[in-house]
Amino acid sequence: MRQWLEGRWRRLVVLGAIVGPGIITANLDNDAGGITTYSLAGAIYGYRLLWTVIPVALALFVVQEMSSRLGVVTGKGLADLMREQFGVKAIFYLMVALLLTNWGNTMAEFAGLAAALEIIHVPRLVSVPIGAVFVWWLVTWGTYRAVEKVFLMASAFYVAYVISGIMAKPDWGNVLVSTVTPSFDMNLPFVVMVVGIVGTTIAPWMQFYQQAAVVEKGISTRNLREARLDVAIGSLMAVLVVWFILIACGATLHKAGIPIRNAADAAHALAPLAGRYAALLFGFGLFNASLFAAAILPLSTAYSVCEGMGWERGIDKKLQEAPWFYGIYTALIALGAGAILIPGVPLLKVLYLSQVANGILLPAVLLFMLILANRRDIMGEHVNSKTFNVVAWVLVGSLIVMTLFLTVATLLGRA
Amino acid sequence: MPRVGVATGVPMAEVARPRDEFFYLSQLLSRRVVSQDGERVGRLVDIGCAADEAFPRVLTYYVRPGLLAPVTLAVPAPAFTDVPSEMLRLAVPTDGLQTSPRRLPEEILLRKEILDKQIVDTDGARVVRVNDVHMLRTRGSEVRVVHVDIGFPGIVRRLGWERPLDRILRPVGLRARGFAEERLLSWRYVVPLRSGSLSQDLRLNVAQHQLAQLHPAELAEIMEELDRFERPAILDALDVPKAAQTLAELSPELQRLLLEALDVRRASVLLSTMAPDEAADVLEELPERLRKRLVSALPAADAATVTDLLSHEPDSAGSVMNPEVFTVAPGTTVTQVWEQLRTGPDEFVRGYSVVVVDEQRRLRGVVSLADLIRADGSRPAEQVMDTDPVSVRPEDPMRDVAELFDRFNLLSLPIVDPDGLLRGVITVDDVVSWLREGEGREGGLT
Repeated sequence: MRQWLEGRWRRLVVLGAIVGPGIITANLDNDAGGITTYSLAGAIYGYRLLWTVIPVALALFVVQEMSSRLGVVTGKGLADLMREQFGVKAIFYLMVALLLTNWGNTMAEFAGLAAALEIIHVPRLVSVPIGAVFVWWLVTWGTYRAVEKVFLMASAFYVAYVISGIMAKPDWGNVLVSTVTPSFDMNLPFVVMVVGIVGTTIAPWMQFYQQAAVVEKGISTRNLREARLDVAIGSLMAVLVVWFILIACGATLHKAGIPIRNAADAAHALAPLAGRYAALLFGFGLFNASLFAAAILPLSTAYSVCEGMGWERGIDKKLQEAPWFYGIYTALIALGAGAILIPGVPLLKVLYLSQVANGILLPAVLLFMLILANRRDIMGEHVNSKTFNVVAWVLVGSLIVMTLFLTVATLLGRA
Repeated sequence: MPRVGVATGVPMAEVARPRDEFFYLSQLLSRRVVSQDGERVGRLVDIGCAADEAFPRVLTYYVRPGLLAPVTLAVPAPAFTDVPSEMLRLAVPTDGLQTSPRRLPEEILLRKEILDKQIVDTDGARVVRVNDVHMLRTRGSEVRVVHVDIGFPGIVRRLGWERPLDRILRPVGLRARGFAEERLLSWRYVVPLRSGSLSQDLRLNVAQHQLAQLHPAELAEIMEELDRFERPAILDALDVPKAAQTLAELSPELQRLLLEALDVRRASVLLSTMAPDEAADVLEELPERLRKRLVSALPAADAATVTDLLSHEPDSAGSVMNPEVFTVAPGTTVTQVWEQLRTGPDEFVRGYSVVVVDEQRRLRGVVSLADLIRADGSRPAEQVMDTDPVSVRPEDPMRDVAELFDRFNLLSLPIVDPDGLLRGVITVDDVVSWLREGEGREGGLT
C-alpha cells in the first residue's frame, strides 16, 4: 500500500513538472476571437450548439496530442521539422500564410482588449497602447519560465466564465440534454456558426506554439504519458470554458432575445439579466484572454518563422543577434495594435485576408503533421497507432473541409 | 581567412583551376538524368560525398528511376559530363549503373544530411541552417563541396525567384543578387549534426578536429541552440577536459537534461574532471535523486569533497569556495615556491596567491604572486607573507565576501574554520560568477 502510494505520489510530481504546454496552449485558443464566436453562438442559437463541445474536444485533443508527441520524440519545433523534411519552398509559403493569419489574429486580440476595457470606460486610445507596450515588455524582459508561470496563472482566470455561466442560472437538465443531443439546420448561417466554433478552437499557430513549448521544456519520451495527460486536461479545460460561455449567453441573451454583435456586447447585455458581477466577470475573462493571446501569438509567430527560415531567435538573444526575430515580433504587435487605433484602416479586409490565409494554412499544417507523425524514420515506435490514425484522418479530413468551406464563404462575403 | 565571400570571387586555392565551374546543389537536384547512350535513367535525388576530406569529393550520384520507384541507382563519380545544364548526361552507359547501391561508410549525403539542416559553424561559433550547398567542378572533372550557403539570396534562389526578380529589376538597371550579400561558409568550418549513418569513429574525428578550436563558453552557447539528440553528440566529440568545461558553462536547465541523458559512468568522469567547486555548482542545481545517483558514482575522494561543499548553505562562502588550494610550509624558500609554481598544474597559479599553512593545516599567512615575483629567492615564505590576511568563515554570506573583495581590492581570499584550519579559497572570478548569477535571479520575474 505504501509503495503504491509512493508510486502515485511520484507520478504526480512528474506530472507537475511536465504540465504546462498543453494546458496553456489549449486555454490560449479561447482568445478574443473565440469568445466572440461562442458568445454569438450562445446568444443566437441558445443551447442548440452545446453538443459541438464534444467533437471539438476530441479534435483538439487529437491534433494537439500529435504536435506534443512530435515535439517530445524529435526534440524539434514544428517549423524546424517541416523545413528539414519538406524543404525551404513549403516552409516559406507556410510561414507567409502564418504571418498573415496571425496578423489578423493579433488585431482581433487587441480589439478584444479594447472592447473589454471599454466596459469599464477605458478608451481604446489608452488601453491598446498600454496593452501593446506591456505585452512587449513582459516577453522581452522576462525569462521563459517566468512568462510561463504568468500564463499558467492566466489560465486559471478562465474560471471567470465558469462562474458567470453559473450565475446566469441556467436550466441544468436542459443544458445536459442539449449537450448530448446533436441538432443541425441545413441553412448557411447555422453551418457557418458550427464551422466557426470549430475553426476558432483549432488554429494553426497552436500546433507551432505547443510543440515549441514541449521542446523548450525538454520533455523526454519516458514522460510521453504525462505529456498526453497534459494535453487531455488542457483540451477539457478549453471546451469547458466554451461550454460555459454558450450556457451563459444561451440562458440569458438568447432567452431574452437580445441581439449582440460581439463579446463586449454580450458582457454589457448580461448585466441586467445575470447581475452586474456576472457581466464584469465576463468582461474580465475577455480582457484576460485577449492579453494572454496578444502576448503569445506574436512571439510564437516570430519564433516559428525564424525557426523555419534558419534565423537566430529566442528572447534570450540580443536585438543585434536576432534582428528578424525581434523585427517580426515587434511588427506584429505594432501592426496589430496600430490597425485598431488608426482610423481608416480597413479592419474587415485584413480579417478576411487573415481568414483566407488560415484556410490555406490549417489544412497544410494538419496534413504535414499527419505525414510526420506516421513516418517511422522520424517517430520510431511512437508513430500514430492504427486506431489513432483512423480517428485523426477522419477529424483532419472534416476540419479541412470545414476550413475550406469557411474560406469560400468568407471570399463570397457571406460569413 | 574571411568566412563569408562572394560566390564567384573565392576560388579555393587547393582545388581551383582557371576553368573551374561553380554551381549549387539545388540547381542539380531533381534534374532529369540520361545515360551516356542518351537513354532516360530518372531524376537525381541525392549526392554522396567523402566526409573525411577537407573539401568532400563527390563519390556517388543517387538517381530514382521513377516517381514511386523504390530503387535508386548509384552512379560512381566521375559520371556527369555537363553539370549545370538542363539535363544531366552520365559518362556511363545504362548497363554500367548499379541498382540498390550500398552506401560507402565514409559517405555523407548532401540532401538528406546537409541541405535544410542545421550545422555548427565553428568559425562564427554558432548554429546555422544550410540554404544550399556550393559546389565546384574542377578542370579535372572532380566535383567537390566547397561552401554551404547560409544567406538570404540562397533562399531566394531556392524559391525560384531569382530570375523573375531579375526580369522585373532589369529595366531599372538592378539585379536581384545585389540586394542582400551572398553568405557562403567554407566547408572547413562546417560540423554536420545529422550524419547519422556515418561510422561513429569517423564522425568524431572530423568533428573533434573542428570543435577543438572553440572555447567551452562558445560550445555551451552552441549547445543551447541544439536539440536533445544533437547535444550529447557534440559532447561526445570533445575530449574529456573540454567536455567537462563545456558542461560547467551550460545553463542549469541544460546541465540537468544532459546529465539525465548521459550514462552514469561518463557523467561521473566529467564531474570528477571539473574543479570540485564547479562540480558542486552543477550538482547543486540538480533534482535530488539525480544528484544522489551521480555523487555515489564519483570516486570516493571526489565524492567526499563535493558532499562537503554541497553541505554548505547556498550563497555562503563555503558553497562557492574551491577546497583544492596550493599551500606551502612556512619554511619553504621563495625559490622553491617559484619552482613549484612553474612546474605545477595551472590551478596553482589561478589562485593568484600562495597560502602558507603549518603541519596541522592552520592558516599562517598569504603570499600574493606579485610579492613572490619581487621577493629575494633565498628568503623563507614566512618572511615575505602577509601574516594577517583578510579571511572568512565557510558560513559567511557571499554578500559580505563580495564586499570584502571590493573594499580591499582582493584577488583571492582564504576560508578558515573556527579552529583556524584552512578550508578553501575564493578567487575574484568566483565572486564575479556569483554576482552574475544573482543578477539573473533578480532580473527575472520570479
